Formats: sequence, structure tokens, C-alpha cells
Amino acid sequence: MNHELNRELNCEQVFQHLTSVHPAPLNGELDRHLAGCSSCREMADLFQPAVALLESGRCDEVSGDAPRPWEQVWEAVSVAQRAADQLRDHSAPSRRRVSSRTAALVRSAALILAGVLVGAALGRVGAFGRSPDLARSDRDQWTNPLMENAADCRCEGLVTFLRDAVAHGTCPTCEQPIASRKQPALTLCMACHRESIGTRPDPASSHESLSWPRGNKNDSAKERGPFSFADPKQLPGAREQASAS
Amino acid sequence: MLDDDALIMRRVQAGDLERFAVLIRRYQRPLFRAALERLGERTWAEDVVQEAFLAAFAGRTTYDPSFSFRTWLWTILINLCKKQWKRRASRPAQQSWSELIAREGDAAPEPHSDATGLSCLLKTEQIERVRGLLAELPEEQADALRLRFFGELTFPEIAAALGCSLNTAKSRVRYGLEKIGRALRTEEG
Repeated sequence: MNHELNRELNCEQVFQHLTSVHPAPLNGELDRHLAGCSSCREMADLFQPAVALLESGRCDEVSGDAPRPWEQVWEAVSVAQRAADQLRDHSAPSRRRVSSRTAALVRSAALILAGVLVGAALGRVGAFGRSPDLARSDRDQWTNPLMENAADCRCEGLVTFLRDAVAHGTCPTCEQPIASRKQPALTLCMACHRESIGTRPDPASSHESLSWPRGNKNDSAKERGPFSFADPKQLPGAREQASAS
Repeated sequence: MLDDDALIMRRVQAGDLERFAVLIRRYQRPLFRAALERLGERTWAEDVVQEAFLAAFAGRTTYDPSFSFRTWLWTILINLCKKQWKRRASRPAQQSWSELIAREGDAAPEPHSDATGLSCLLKTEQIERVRGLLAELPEEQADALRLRFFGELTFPEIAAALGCSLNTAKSRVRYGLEKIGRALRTEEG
């Protein structure tokens, strides 16, 4: 037996049915409900002629009140789209020129800022006016994954390398272009710098060993330059810190 | 699961722009009916419907297929009708030659090949009667009735298109129908 045919409607269902354009077929449920519900009976008496009139006002062929052919509307939409595409293509070269210039300036500024920020972050742990011991303890709290493998590399040289890389877009040691925009200098200069202090070099790397400013890692300290990367005591500010304490 | 409209819009978004014509064909008449009821002038209603389709096509990249395309399109039309009505109300009455010519055409629509002149006139009279009764309702009730009976939207869709709650959408339809029903009772005497 089909229970749907003998179901009892509630007032909400009666309202939905009376206001539907295509009401579901009922098997006497509506009449049974109206027989027992005066408010729904009153609602049906008011609604039915109004709904019939509204449905008669729907657009059809007989009325002659048909809109313009749909093909015309589609043609208008297509024409508008083509015009928009033409305008965009026409103005694109000058916009590209301006935007590429602007993008280059923004890129350079971002790279320089990134370098300064990295330098400042590194400076907090060693090179700029803080004691090597304090730098070492701060080092342990470093959370940047790229720097984790370079815990021994935090020094002025690295900071300078990073700044150079950020400023020129290439690693100053291996002169490879910076591949990643997010962490450009760190990726390349970590590889260079690890090799320079004698840690395990990157086997995939093909760059020359480090010297400061250019040279071989086996060069003497004097030949290497004003300070050695491996010796924190040689860092600028370290001597002043030592004499102050 | 996406409905047919959403699937078509996905294809349009993917680059098959011609598929948009299917949606125009599907919704043009009910949109025009509602716009004509709302604005009262044929050419104006046609322009607004065309503008609605243009807006939907231009905004196709922003459309989310997980939502009802029908509701989105009707919302665009309702908003355009409101904007156009306010714009015209604030400007002095002006008519172009094409509007004047179209107006003359509105008075006596060309009958369909199978329709008699009398049935056309009766139909026109009925349409005018509906238009008049809807014009006497508050705007939100009239819009709700147009969406329900011309757009065949569900109550949740009406609520979304009008930016109101579900209960408010039902109330607007209820009160609108009650007023039209009482007006018809009064006419019959």
C-alpha cells in the first residue's frame, strides 16, 4: 500500500502546495486537511484565484508579449565580450610596460628589504654587537628550516653574502641566479657557505669554494680577508664586546 | 551534485562560451515576464533582461557552480530592475523615437498564427490586470511573487535572491497573495 497517498498534510505543506506553480499531485489529502482546518480553508479561498491570475500572466506565445529572440540577446552578449577583449588587448602593451617596470622596482625593493630583514635577524644572534655566547644560545632557538643546517654559519660573512645575493639576484660565490623568490638568498648561499667552513658540501653543487671576497678556502687568514667565517671572535663588534665586558 | 545550469556554467568558465546561449534560451522568457511586470515597458524590460545576461556572462569567472545559477541570475535581474527604476524616477521623462514606436506596438500585439484577435486581447487584459495588482503591492512582496510564479524559484532561492530570511520570503508571498485575493474579491463584489 502506498502510504504517501494517505498521508496527512500540515498547514505548512498546504501553504507550499497552494503557492506552487507545479504542485505535486495529491490524492485527497488537501481536501481532507481543508475540511478540518478553517484557517487553511480561508487561505485557499483567497489564494486560488490570485494564483490562477498570476499563472495566467506568465509569458507565452499567445500573448504576443514575447521578448526579442534569444539569438539577439546572445549576439549582444558575444559582441560585448569581443569588445571587452579588444579593449583589453589594445591597452595591454602599455599596461604591461608600466606594470613590468613597476614590478621590477617592487621586486628589487622586496629583495633588498628581505636581505636587510634577514641580516637584522642574523645580527641579533652574533654579528652586530652581541656576544658570541649569547649568539650561540639564540642560534639554538632558530626555527627557519633553511637555517637549521647552517647553525654554524651565522656571521657577518653570511649576512653580507645574503645581502649581495638579494641585491644582485645571484649568489656572489657561485653566481647562480636566485631560483626561489620566497627564500632566494638562503637556498643558494647556504650551500656556498657550508662549503666554505669545511662542512659537508652539497654534492649536487658545482660552484667554486669560497674565499673572501674571492679565493680559495685553503688561503691563509690574511689572504682570506679581514675576518674568517669560522672564527666568531673575528666578527666586527666581537672585539668591542670582549673589551667592554 | 551540480544541476544542469551549474554544469553549463562550468563549461562556460572552462572556455566553451557558446554554451551560455543555452542559459539565455532557458531563462529569457521568465526574466522578461518579471521585468515587464516590474517596469511596465517592453523595450525597457528587454534591455534590462539583456543587461542581466551581460552581467552574468561578464561575471562568469566569479560564479561558484556549487550555488544555484537560477538564483544568481534572478538576483541580478531584481537588482537591475530596482536600479533602473530609481534612475528613471530621478530623471525627467524622456523618450526616444524607438521607444515611442515600440509603445505603439505594445498597444496591439501581433497575434500568434493560431491565436485569434479576441484571445490576444483577453490575454493582454489579463496581463495588464496582473501588472496593476502587483503594482499596488509593496515592492518586496511584488518581487517575491514574481520570483515565485514567474521565476518558479523555491522559497530558499527567493530568500537568497531578496537577501532575506526564509520565513520572511514565505511571509512576503503569503501577504502578497492575500492582498491580491482580497482585491479580486472586492472587484467581483
